[in-house]
Amino acid sequence: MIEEPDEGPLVLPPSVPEHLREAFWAQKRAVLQALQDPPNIEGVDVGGRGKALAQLSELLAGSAVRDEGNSCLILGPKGSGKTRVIEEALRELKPRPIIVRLSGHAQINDRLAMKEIARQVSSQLGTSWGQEEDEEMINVETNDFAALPPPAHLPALISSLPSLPRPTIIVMDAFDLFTGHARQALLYCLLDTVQSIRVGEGHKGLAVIGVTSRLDTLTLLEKRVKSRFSHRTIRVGTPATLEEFTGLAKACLTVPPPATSKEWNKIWLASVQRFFESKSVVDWFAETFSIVRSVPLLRNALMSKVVMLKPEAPWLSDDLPRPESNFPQLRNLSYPTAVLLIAAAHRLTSGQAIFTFAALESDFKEYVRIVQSAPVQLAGGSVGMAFENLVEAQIFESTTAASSNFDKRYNKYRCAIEREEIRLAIDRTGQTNLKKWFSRSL
Amino acid sequence: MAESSLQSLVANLTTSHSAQSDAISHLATLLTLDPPPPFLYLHDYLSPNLTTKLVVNILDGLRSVQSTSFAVIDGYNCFTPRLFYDSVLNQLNNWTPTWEEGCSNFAGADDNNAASWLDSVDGFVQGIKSTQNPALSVKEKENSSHPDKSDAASNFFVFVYNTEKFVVNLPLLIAPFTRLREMTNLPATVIFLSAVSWNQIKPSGGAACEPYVLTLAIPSQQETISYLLSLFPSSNSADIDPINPFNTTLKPLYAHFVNALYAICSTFIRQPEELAYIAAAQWPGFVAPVLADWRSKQLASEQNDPDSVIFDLPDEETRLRLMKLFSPSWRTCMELVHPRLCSASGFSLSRDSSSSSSSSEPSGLPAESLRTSGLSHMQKWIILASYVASHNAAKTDLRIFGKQSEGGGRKKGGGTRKARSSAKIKASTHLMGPNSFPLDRLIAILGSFLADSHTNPMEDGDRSDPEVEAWRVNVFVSISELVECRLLQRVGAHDKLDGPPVFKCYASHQEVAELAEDLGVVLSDYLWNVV
Repeated sequence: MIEEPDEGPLVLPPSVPEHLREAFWAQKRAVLQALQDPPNIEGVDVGGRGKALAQLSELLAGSAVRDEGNSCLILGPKGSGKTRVIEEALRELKPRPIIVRLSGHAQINDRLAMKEIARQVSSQLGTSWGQEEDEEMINVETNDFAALPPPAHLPALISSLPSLPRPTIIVMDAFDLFTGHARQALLYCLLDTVQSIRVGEGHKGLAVIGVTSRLDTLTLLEKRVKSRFSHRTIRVGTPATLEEFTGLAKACLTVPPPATSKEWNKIWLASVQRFFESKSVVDWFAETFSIVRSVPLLRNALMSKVVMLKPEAPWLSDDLPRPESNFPQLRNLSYPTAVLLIAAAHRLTSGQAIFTFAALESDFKEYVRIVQSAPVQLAGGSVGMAFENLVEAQIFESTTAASSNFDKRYNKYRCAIEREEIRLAIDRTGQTNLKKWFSRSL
Repeated sequence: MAESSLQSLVANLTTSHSAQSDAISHLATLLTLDPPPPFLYLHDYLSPNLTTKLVVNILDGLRSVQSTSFAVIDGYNCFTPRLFYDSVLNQLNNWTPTWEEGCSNFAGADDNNAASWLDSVDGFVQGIKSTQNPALSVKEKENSSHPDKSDAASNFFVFVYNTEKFVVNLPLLIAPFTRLREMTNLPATVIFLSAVSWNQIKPSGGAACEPYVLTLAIPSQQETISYLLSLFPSSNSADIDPINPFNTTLKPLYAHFVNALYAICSTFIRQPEELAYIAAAQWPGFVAPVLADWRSKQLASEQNDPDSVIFDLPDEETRLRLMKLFSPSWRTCMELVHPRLCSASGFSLSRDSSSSSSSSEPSGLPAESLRTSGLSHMQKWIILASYVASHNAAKTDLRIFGKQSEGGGRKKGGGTRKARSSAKIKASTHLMGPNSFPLDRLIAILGSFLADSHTNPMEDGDRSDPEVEAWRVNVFVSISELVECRLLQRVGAHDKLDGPPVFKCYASHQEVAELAEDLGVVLSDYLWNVV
């Protein structure tokens, strides 16, 4: 229940009344949709995307309409919207050119890449392209790309791209991975073809767009490839200021659903306002923005809150998710696991970073003998199971191959978590005898 | 998806998966979004098996309501890319390869190109596009429709569990596979489930895109107990004798039993499945006195009126006595059943066969001493010699064995030095495992032992050469046999012909002590550190 000072007294009901439930579900759907596909904010060019879109559209229009040969590189951090900008620019092109999409992750050598180019071009042209000699064997209606030309012909295909009936746009995702191929042959052919296109000779245009988040990609290019590249780079960025970052979040959360009632709108906007005014939310935004300005992170955090909204608890609460540790089991250790971690920590401080299960077990037995007050005497069995669980969770990493020892108890491991984390985890268990053992110096 | 059907799906699942009730609605809502997030990562470090079943049930529920298709892949199974591609394609299209049709994979309408779908990532992407998007004909004409999403394509899911093994098997596939939605332009959702967090197993360099991470919370006491209760059968089957441990009238007693189980075992064991296993091991034994009581009542009443026997539960006092009687066996159970040294059924059977006192040790304990029972005389000497070689440093050999021929025991003068550094030396052999020794050292120590024990046949001067050779061959063959018994291990490359072969001894101290007694040797005289 909150008083909204700006719009007169507005009380947020603890749960959604019946007549507004439809509006609630529609709002939730719309917000989740907007989070996946953030809307543009009025008057703000988040991350320079609008400018990048304009530059790219101009370049693509040059190739598609004016039959030029163009190449450019789109740089930006992961999740900043590079692919989105390209798709938007491609959507606007009329008439539609041939679009070839390559990915450095999927095509790990030039041969695969050229096969993929041939396949995509053939399927878009509707003919089997590159098979000039064997035309009578090809049945155009059904076998579009049944047989690819032999590998020796493939480089020649690239130089014949401008002679196709439509202009071609090649989008290369993970461009930096293509620079790792042998002799950068594909890049050389493509950029050479682009450079050799002269307007007005009856060729169609060709554009090569590289997309990567690696800023030093240009230094990876060989000299002959670099000289053929136009060095045009379009930068797409993350939100530049905290206001932009928060504004993006606000825009996603307050997106109006298609058919809504004014009453619902007022209530929803008031709840979002309350959310953004709460101190912990403001702190969260400031901290996240200062560390990493990643829109996907923001999106996942907000989505995890919005997904859990239901009519009984419809308003956003102010506990946004904090980054989790890699090992959430440290928050809730079982007794044998705690014992093993303490023994490992002691070995670490005494200089033996590498240990075996037999060593940890004997340390524990030694401790019990000295202190004579362990809660339960455990035989090797359940401590052994806890040890295996730690190995599976990759908290204990093995330093030798697993099959090198006949006896499992003598396999060597090292602990992946620091002493400080172990100390915090042991403190959380609240068992004083464990804490005493941990702080005891052997 | 309509909210009411989502709620009913969630309600159905909550009854069967009570150990993860708060994750159920989160997951169900995520998967029914339109579109779901492209890449979902589930981190469940406690009970990944239960979560696997939960996700499969949710996907099944979605399939029956919305007719979405999904594929479930075990990360262990796909050790080549081709296996992965064909499992996914077959499952997404509800195709099972049958022997009669030549075990062919799903080909769809496009028989000629289906073979190329399994060749590479590109082929796989093409296969998914062709089979999941029927509105898009084989000729991809991009001049008309919006390239982002085709209207007829519906959501489909690919769920991989045991992802930490998947990443080890197919590391190059992770980056393109997590971007499946981008690459196919279809509403695909990739779900990974693992006991390890994404940061530990993701490929370096940021190649894979960021997932929506859902960490499943640890179940509370209430949730675990209701999970354990849900495993008790809820109806009696007609053809089993009503006097059995799983009679539904025993359910309230089972509830008390489960509470006690949780109170005792939860400090050591957190996983709900493990607790269920221990419950299964203990319950028949716990309820045996009650059943015995019923049996005697039944026999007594058979003489009077066979049909009027009522099987009733023990009252509170009896129950408390039952618990007290039973409490020592919890520890035995945890020590044997939890590390699977004994199976649950074996444990409960052994308790049945013993008397009503619960202190007898169940059978099924591993008998370590069996390893050394069938050895020949020479093999026993070799084990002894190799144990000494593994656990003494090489420099001490001369000190120990050099003195033996003079008839004295080990000089105690080395005692002071030993005490100061005993912890470290102890650490290095007994806890870090046996050290390795070359064959020559083993032969030397063996010869020294045999010389001392006066059983050396070589002393006799008129042994003929073939017998000497036979003796030597016997030693080497015995060593090979011991390697096969896994009492010795040959370390290093097996195909290295130069340099002596290097071994380690894996016999335990207890076994070797028994052998030494057998052979009449005082073991502690020959060990540098006495355990």
